[in-house]
Amino acid sequence: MTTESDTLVHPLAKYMRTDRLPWIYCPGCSIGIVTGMVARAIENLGIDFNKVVIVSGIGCTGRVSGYFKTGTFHTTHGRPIAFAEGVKIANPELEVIVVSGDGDIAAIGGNHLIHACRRNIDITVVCLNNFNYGMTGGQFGPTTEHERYTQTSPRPIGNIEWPFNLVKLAASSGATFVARWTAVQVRRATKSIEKAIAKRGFSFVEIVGACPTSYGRSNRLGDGVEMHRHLLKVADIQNGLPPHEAELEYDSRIVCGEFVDIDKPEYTEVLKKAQEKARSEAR
Amino acid sequence: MDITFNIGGMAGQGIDTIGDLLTKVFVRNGLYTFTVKDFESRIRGGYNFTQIRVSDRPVHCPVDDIHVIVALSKDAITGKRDQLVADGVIIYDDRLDFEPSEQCHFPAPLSKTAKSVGGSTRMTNAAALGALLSVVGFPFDLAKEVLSDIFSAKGSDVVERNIRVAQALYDFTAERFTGSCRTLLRDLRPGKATARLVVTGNQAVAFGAMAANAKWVAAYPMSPSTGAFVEIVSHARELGIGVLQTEDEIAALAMAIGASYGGVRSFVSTSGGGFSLMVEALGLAGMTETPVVIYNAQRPGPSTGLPTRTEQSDLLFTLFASQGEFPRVVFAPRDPVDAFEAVVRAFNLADRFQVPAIVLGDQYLADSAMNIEGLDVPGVTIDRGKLYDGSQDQYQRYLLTEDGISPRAFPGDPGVVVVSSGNAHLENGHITEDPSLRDAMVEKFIKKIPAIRESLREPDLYGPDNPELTIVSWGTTWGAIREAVTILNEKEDRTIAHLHFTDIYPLRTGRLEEMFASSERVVSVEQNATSQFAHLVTMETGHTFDGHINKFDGRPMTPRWVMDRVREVIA
Repeated sequence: MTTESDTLVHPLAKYMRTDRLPWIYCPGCSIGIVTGMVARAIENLGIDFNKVVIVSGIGCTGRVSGYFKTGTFHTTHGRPIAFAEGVKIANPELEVIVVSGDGDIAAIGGNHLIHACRRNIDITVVCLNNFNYGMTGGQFGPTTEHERYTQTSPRPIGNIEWPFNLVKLAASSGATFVARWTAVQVRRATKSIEKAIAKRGFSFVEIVGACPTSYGRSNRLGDGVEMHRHLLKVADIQNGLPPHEAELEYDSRIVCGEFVDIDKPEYTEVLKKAQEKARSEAR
Repeated sequence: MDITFNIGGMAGQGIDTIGDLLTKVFVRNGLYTFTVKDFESRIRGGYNFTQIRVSDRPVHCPVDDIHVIVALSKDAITGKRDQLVADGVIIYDDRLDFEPSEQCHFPAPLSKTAKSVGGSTRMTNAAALGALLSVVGFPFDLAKEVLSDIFSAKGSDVVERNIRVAQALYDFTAERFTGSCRTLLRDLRPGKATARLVVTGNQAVAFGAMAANAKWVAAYPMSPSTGAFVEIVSHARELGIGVLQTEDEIAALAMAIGASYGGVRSFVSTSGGGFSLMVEALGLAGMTETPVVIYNAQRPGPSTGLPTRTEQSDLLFTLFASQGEFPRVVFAPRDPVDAFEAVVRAFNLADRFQVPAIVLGDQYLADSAMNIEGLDVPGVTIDRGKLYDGSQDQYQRYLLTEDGISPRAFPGDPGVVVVSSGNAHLENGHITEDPSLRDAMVEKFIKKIPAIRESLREPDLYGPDNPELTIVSWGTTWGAIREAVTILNEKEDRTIAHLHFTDIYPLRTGRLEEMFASSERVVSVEQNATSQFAHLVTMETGHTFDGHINKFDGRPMTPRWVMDRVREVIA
């Protein structure tokens, strides 16, 4: 017999659409961990869930928004950042968080990423980098390493292109907070996401994760447990390292930490001040 | 009285300024003006002109006959000389290599005097104004007024020097410009018009968006729509409008949809190429039932086409843009006043039916200017449609309702969670692949279409009952066609009706049915090659046209052009 006291309820369940579970993700996928990080960060900050909007694009990570009990908008492929900018400027009171994958954020949506960094709009982007397009069956993407195998970069040649380093890209584009962690550094990553949300400016947090079903299988990287063990082994925590030194080599070294935390005038604040100034002059 | 001035030269010579100065003079003297600008896609050089039609009655289109040419380059003479009426005047800079062959070819020291009296050839436009005022026999004080208006921001010295240059040419012309040339311009006398607001189509669109309380405007610069965005930007700070020049048109519409989800009315302006990039996001607005207003100032395509010219060739693309099926509203206003109203209505219908609304203009509307009494800003009403009143246990963004319209709430509203998705979704906004829910949601979309149609206006009908011919047209060709039909009926005893659409889609077919039943023949007139609107009419009514008249050279229609084609059809 099950009594009420026997039923264990996850402490973050209140933030999640438990009615939507079990979710769509494969065993061993990192997306669940990252979803937990975001929920915990919101919990730790004590933000009113009613004032949070989670925006996502398309792809495996793009489906994350649907599991949150916040306002959510599941947009088109590549456009969540542009969409989130609109939400934030329409109502700067809202905490706007984009959770999406590397393909969505850095390939089809790469232009929006760099320009949002440049504008310094106060939104937080959590990008789960699993090195390939998972939802469509494992094709190479903007972060796939050179010579890695995917469905569209098959053996024996592999990927003839070179990957973006997302930390360097975001930092050089003007983001005011940039961090990278792997999916196994949950506490540290959650802390960085908290800082990113609290930051008055554009924040970018990359979480390097595992896609055992596609990328792992194509490159013989093992199952989910093995891939996460590997992430723990190669993670090299170097907080405060200049962002241009934040290297990412999947086999040997993934530099993790917070690399940028600077202050710049934030877009919606500048806009508000400019409007107040214009109005007082008009009077 | 109906007189046309053509002021031509190279880009950068101040053609626009002369046009603006002259328009101000005529408007202040109680006349109606209609100005078109013809320019090439370049910043300096080439051959551009501004053509101002002046009348004591309202005029709504350019005409072919030119009475006065003001030429600052040789191309400006050769380019328009064929259209000059008998005894027409050419005032040209005497430095140009041109041999006058008629009495009314008038070489004037425009640039020389600008340099010698004003100190800079940039004052050539003041010189031209002085010459023009003398030619039309208006008092010189008018030049003082308008030059002060335009240049006062540059300081009194600049104003004074400009006035001296204008005075020199005014006096020079008064002395030399004599004889039969003046008879032509005898009729040009101050009129009784009280229309004092000179407005372009782009400005009217911008004013419409601002009057409709658009609070978020995003755009990427693209001719010929840019003027509308620039107009809004110039008022954004004082009106508290968020304006953002985006990295591309994809971002522009994505941001606008985001802002609309966030609770504010949002607007994007673009031209066909930019609209092409917006198409995917248009589908997102459709699927998520997020209102947004899109202004597409059409230009001839495909691809870059003719960037500074006009065409109505994006119609069918606009009606069918995006994968999938969803309701949308499409307007194509005929002139600035109509554009202002169409944009306001677009916002209200977008909110009421929670659909994207598209306003199709074109370069001709965007850049041409006319003086009007004003725009009815106080008369604008705002209808935000069905808003959530707190009556549901748990707010559902896509609640299935009788009329297919679910109450809107916005993120941050107390006690509600707003969930939206571009995927097929449940009433609460979450993704589903359930076939019965898919059916219900598609039916929800589709049942809006007849309701939108009912809220649109019937086309404007002009002309006699049981006509020998009905002309069907839409958008900005209205002025030239109406004038042509009026002349044919009044001067040539024709019985031609003109059925003109501003509200395009979903198409109202009542009057079309009447005209197909009562008219001997029905012909379409469109500024495109494939009679796109006629295809829409056939698709919606099953009626086919007896003929099509098409223009696709990128230049606006004139009444004479329309009359010539109509006579061919009738013959």
